[in-house]
Amino acid sequence: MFNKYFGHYLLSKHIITKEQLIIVLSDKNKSRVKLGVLAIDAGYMTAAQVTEVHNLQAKKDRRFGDLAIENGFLTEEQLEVLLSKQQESHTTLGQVLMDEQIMSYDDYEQLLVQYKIDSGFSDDEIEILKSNDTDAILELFLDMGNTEEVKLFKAYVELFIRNIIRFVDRDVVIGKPYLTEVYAYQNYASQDIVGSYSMETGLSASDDVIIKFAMAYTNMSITEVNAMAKDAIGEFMNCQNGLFISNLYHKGINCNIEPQVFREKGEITAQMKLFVLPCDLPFGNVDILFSI
Amino acid sequence: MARILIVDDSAISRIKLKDIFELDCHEIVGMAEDGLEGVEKFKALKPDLVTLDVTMPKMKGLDCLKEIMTLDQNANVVMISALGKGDTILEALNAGALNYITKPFEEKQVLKTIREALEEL
Repeated sequence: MFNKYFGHYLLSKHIITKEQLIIVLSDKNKSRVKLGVLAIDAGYMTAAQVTEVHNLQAKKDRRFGDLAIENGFLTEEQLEVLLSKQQESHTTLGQVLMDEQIMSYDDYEQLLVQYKIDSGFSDDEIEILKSNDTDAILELFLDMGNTEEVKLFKAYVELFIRNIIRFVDRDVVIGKPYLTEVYAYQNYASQDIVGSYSMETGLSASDDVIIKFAMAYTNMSITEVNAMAKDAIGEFMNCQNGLFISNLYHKGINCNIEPQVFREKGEITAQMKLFVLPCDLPFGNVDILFSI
Repeated sequence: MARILIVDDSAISRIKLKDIFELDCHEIVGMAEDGLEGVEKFKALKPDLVTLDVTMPKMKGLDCLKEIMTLDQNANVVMISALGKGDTILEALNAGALNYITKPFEEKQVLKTIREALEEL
């Protein structure tokens, strides 16, 4: 999973192209992960140290780990950790990027550091991303307390992600949710939920992404944000929310949904708590909004 | 073959349902975007069967259903809605709907339900 997160980050920074990302994430790129890449991933060695060991390997017929220990770059314990990771590891994106000569060890190290800064992920959180455990990743991202509002938001976005995977695109990468008081949008499809709880739910995206989302959901040709595109997004929200309140009903919470509304270029000022969950899809970003 | 009226505020749903019914040799006599229009078209067109959404502007589907049943207690209505919770389904069936399909619907499921409803006519 980390490959997807890091890959989308590189794509958003225009460091790699979409075509390159597809190639490096494809199954044919399954090779043994090199210790140098794992050492940089783990923060045990710098790119310069890895390059130095590689240069030494070119001159001496010695193993990477032995030379790294001999030069004081790794401890015995660290090498053991890396060797065990190498056994269980899937090919890292970094490995493929370097094998394909898209970037150097130096570039990789710097981008990894920048990714941690930009994403705000701690080392522990990065490890969870590497685990490929979707539930753990959602749990990690939705660690916003245990209030009734957070529980409902969590249930809402878990269902939303499943519906995106089922009806729109299976390659969805969720970002870190956040609370905000003001949210500006280009396009916003919303639907109110009323009853035991009052909630406003919505999906926000740029014109280009709205068109592609609508096309993916309907399998129809849509070329602009017209009535059909708006209707498609609204119908996706309607199905999502219909399922959501049916799930709530089974838990003894009785709510109903109001007709959907599509708005262009505006701002939402939160009357209550406004949660935002950013999601990356292969064709662009959407934000899931949930106000309670 | 049946003469069918589709009442749904979603253009996508109306188009999909129209395609499904026409491929099964039914005639779409009309389509309405909300409950009020649905009642008016029911009066004017007297269809054999109505498919009715629940969450709609102006007049909600359940109110539209009750109006239609008041106009004709033998009206044949199948609900097709994203709202699939028990009390809404029960209310629709008690009000006279023949069946209830939840969205997102699949072609086979829609045709099976409609055929069963038509067999009861």
